[in-house]
Amino acid sequence: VCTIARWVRIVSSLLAALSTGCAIRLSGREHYLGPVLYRSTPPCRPDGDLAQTAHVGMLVEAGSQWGATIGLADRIVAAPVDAACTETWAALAPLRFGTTPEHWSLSLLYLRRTPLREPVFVRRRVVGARATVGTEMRSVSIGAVTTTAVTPPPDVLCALHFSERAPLRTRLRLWQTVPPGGEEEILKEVE
Amino acid sequence: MTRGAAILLAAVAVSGCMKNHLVFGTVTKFALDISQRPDQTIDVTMGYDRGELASIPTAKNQDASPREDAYSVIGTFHVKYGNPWTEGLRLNQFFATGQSAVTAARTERFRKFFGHAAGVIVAEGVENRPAEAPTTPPAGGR
Repeated sequence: VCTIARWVRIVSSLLAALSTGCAIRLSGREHYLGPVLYRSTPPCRPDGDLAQTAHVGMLVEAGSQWGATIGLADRIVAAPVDAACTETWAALAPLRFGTTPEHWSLSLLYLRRTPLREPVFVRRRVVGARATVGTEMRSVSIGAVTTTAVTPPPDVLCALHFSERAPLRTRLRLWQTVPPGGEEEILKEVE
Repeated sequence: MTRGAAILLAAVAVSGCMKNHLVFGTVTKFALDISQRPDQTIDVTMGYDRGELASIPTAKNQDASPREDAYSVIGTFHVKYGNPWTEGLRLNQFFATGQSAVTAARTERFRKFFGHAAGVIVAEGVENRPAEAPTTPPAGGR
């Protein structure tokens, strides 16, 4: 019995250690240490750039939000397309489950994302326990919590279509100006 | 199952020097949760809850003036909560902020669009309104 209990302790400690990760989100760059699943839409997609990361286990967050999550932490961000189209993922020894960016990949050690712009749309889902403090919110929860936030920049027209069932088909369009007679084209996106 | 649709037709007049924190948000919880968003009171939930939030920045103790730009917002905000196992959350939003909102409010086509959207939502609200209770108390009642 003692041997089994010892093995259970060893295996659970090993799993806990292997599933512990850290997400550091700074302006213009995000760093992930430890195992994290990630995927995104192809770069320069006219309907906006979308990235999704998911972590199972214990995740410590730093940067714009500080806190810790035990369980599932799933985050989707969408930003309008930048003319430079320079979004990059850089992962150390990733495991890829497909050939396109839309397939999930698993980064085991280190992942860096250089986003194009500050995200306009953020969807967070946590299943488990979480404590977080930051500019977005302060929260302590146990259970399942899903939040979405759209923070549009000033002086724009913005259209967003999001479906939980197909998150990578999210459409986010921003217009700084409306060309003469361009109202119909914009409303075509909306109606 | 449609939770509802909400329309924001807001023109909030503030000075142009404030920091922009315009936020449209939703939350769905099946949890024990204690949370607080900026400029909001503390929210405590135990069990199931969901909600929508629109936070539009305002300046402190300062009215708009004809020379200073108002921070205007005009938009539609549609949320649909489906079965979480098959459909899940759907969001459809269209809005204009700042000067774009001012321009949109002056554009005939956009005015028609937002007017139609507002009409649909008002009609849905009338259909879903529960039967009103009689306004006059019964004679002799306390």
